[in-house]
Amino acid sequence: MDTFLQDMRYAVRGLVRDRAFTLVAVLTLALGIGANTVIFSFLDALMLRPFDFPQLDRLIFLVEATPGYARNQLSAAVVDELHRNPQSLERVSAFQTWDLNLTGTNEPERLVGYRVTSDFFGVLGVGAAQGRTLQPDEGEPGHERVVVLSYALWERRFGADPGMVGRSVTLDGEPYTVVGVMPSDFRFPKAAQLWVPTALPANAQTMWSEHSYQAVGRLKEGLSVQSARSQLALLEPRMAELDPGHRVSAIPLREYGDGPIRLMLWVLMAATALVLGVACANVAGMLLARAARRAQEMAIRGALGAGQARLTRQLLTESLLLALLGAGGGLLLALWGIGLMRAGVPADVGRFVPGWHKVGMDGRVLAFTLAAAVIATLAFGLAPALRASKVQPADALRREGRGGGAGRQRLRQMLVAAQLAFALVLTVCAALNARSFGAMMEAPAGFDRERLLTLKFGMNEQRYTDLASVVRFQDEALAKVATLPGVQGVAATNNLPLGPSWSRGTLQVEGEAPLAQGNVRYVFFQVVTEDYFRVMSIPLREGNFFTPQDGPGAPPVVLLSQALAQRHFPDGSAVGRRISMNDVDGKPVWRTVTGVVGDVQVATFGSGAGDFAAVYLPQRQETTRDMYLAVRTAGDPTALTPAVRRLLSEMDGELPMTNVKPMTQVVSETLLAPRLAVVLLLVFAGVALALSAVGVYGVISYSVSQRTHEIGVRMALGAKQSDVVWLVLRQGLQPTLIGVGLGLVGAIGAARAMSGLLYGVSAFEPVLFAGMALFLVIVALLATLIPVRHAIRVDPIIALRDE
Amino acid sequence: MTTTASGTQPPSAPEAGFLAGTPGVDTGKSLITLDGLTKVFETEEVETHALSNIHLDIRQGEWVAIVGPSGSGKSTLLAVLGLLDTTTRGTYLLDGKSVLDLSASDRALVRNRHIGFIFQSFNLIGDLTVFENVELPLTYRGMPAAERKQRVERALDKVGMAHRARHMPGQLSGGQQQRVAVARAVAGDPLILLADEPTGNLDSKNGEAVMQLLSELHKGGATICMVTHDPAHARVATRTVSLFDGKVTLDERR
Ligand SMILES: Nc1ncnc2c1ncn2[C@@H]1O[C@H](COP(=O)(O)OP(=O)(O)OP(=O)(O)O)[C@@H](O)[C@H]1O
Ligand SMILES: [Mg+2]
Repeated sequence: MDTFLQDMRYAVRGLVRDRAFTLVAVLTLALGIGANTVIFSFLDALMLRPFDFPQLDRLIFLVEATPGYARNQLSAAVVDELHRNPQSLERVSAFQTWDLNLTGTNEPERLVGYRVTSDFFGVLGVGAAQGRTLQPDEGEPGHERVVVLSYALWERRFGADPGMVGRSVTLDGEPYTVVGVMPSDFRFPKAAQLWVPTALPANAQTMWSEHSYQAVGRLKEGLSVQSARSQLALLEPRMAELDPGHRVSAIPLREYGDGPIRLMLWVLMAATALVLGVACANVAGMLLARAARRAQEMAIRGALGAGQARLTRQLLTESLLLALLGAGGGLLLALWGIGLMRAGVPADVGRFVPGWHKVGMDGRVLAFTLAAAVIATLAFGLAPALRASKVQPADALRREGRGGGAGRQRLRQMLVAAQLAFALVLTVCAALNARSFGAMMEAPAGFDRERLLTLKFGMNEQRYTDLASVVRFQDEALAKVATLPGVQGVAATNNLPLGPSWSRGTLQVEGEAPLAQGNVRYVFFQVVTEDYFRVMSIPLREGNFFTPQDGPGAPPVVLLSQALAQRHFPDGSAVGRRISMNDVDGKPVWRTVTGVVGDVQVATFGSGAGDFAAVYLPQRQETTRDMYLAVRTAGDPTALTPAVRRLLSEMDGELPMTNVKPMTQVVSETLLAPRLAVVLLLVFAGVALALSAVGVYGVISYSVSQRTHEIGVRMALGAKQSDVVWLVLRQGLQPTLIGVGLGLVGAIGAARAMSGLLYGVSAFEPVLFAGMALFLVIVALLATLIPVRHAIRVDPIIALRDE
Repeated sequence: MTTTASGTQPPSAPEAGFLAGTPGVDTGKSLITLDGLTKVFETEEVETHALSNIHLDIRQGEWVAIVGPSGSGKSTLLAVLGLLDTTTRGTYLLDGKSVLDLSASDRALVRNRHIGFIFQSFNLIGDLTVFENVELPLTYRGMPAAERKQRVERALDKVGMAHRARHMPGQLSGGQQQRVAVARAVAGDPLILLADEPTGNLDSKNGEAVMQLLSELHKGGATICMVTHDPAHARVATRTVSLFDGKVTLDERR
């Protein structure tokens, strides 16, 4: 302890003495550690512990996997099976989404609710903050009119009224008694605002093909997810017969969130680790140069009796102090960075990301930062410390040795090569993501997103008891909105293209051979009103648009996207043919194709990217209660918001309206994650590149300063300016080429690992890779320019002088 | 033997000591001709006249020893002769051609082709082997590898260091290093060898060896211009030029 304090004192003194060195080193480390802290705070909150449930490791999420789609909802029969025979699960609970209208004293509101089977809160192991959670018998008919509220809903909608438990609220027109309010950090599933009990239908055992459930289970003590999976596999023979192509799979609940976002976070974490690597290599290089300057001091200390261990420890203490200062700076940077990133994501989007509310600086993040600092200390401090402490005490008596710096210089060159390799990996990843994002932005979306106001509205079953009343209301609403000044057209659809959600059905084509047993062909579909295509500027290619005559009594009709039509009817004979998107009683419901429309990018770019196959169904035949309104305006779409809102609430005072935003914003929110990834990767790559350039500059200028005399001698022997330039460049070029070579290998691997994030660009783009490599070489050569200038200004006359 | 000049001669008086054509003196052709050469260092307030109005004619095959007290301008003179430094006034003809107004790259070329340097502190390059050190000026000349190899081997042979071609300079003694440096200086067959206290960093035994080597080179026809502090070494040379305060105070040939 005593020696540690002494070492600390020496360290502080040493760092104060070398102020410029300390400042640069601390800033470098702060950048590296800060970037890691920012990304870790997101990774930790969103992925490592998105939920605070006790023994989160034992919780699993159950899905049905089909070819091509890993996460489908469960059928009632599977849920029933799991309930009756939970096997490796201690307890299990299923739940269904329930989009509902909350009405009452305030403005009506569309809420995200869940119907959950009785043990839901028990499985998760979370109790209510007020009142209680749901009881086992409450799923049964006659008991199910109870509700548990989320803290956020209670706070916002009910003003955090402490007497809320026991009150009644109106959900979709029915009274429910509030029995409890959950703690503020309980957010599951996703943006749930309330939970009501439900029971499986009586005939659940036979309902193998209607998939509307999700389920969570708690593994028995000591069992692994793998064991749950192998037990679930026992269901497979029966499912092969009753629900071909499906099998049940278990996923750790931790991984509940969006796949691409998870991948993106890992990519970013890896990116910041590389940034820290570059920073460490830089500081290590600086320490080596410093060690060379201090060789005499070390030799004298050694001559005075300090052993190698003691010297190493002293130098490491100095490094640790540097790293801690860097960590301090990094924390400040991170606080700023986290705030910046949080502010960059609209609440609307964050709400649906599990753990989003927890992102911030906390004990775990601090611990991570500290760990990063310690690891960094070893990464950048160990080699220089060992090397510096190896100085022979006898050197104290000797004049500065000649040529002894070669080994040291080689280590520095290796460091430079390493940091250039890291920087290249980052640069390539950033460039690929930027290209991919550019491709997303430029991809012909197939519709005109400008001057388009969108909003979501939902019609409950109490007020609009039959589908005819839904259609009537929508007809009237569309007609009235169309008369507003500044409105050029209006339509309704169940999903917006490039919006937050999409729907898929299973496609069958009449006359085509049935698919092999167990294979399903999913196709995007959209339910739209007649004017939808005109309002969205989607062209008609063949046949006709829907008409008001395509009603419930008329023969079922569909429109196909051009891509789908060409895929299945390459001879152009689509119009008049029949397809099916769903089965009723095991028989396909055939619908006649009346037209073909232009291709539209339906889903987000993450999944189903580049898939333009889509089917359109008429709203009059496939009536949907939750619809988006799309209003084409003459000018600024948001200017029409108040008028549209007013008009709709005049028609129905209880009609909830949400997601009121221009279409451009809808698209940009869909592209938020890739945009953030691109911005962050570009920033990280820029930092790595800048640090690498500094590293190259450092090692070359140090070497030039060490070799001034040699350069003078060479000039005296007749070296031309170009010989000297080449001498210096070559020294920078060698580590650069090695680094770029290694970096290319790393970049190929890294690009492959993140190919799931890429759109419109392949993970291996030779031109892009080569371009970035060349770019890095140029940056490295530019970094040697200043030392080169110093070198060619060396006066050969110094060759005559003694060193 | 002829003696001219004295320490008290006024600087304006022309140096009459070049006994060109004097019988008994080397009558080789004139290799270096300095005329009114002056070098002034201007630093802050003081002007240092490192060389004042030097007239000097060095003929082929001569071995000139430049002597004088510290600060008298010996190294400066050598630097000017070796085109490492510029002058303030005067003319310098090397092999009949004026070389003072050359560009930096042409000076590098002349140094490389016509001048061989031997330094007090050897100045071998630590990261290069003995062979590569000797080869270096030839490399700068752009000579083909085969010819370089032949020349380097011949030069190393001349100085008796052929067996150490693969060694690094750090593995050699000071005397051996200086022999390698001599090999490097002669490898390119320069017009003149310039040596600044070539024995200054060596003990007497190694110093003698290097002097012996220079003697052999001189006998072989080399022109040498050598700065030395050692009167014994100066006597080995065929001509002694004494400098004092930037002026030639004595110029004697044997
Ligand atoms: N770069 C310079 N700037 C200013 N003055 C200089 C410079 N180089 C040499 N001088 C001065 O010129 C004079 C001649 O120096 P020079 O090095 O030629 O002496 P020297 O005869 O070689 O001495 P020594 O025997 O000590 O090597 C000295 O007064 C010296 O201080
Ligand atoms: Mg000198």
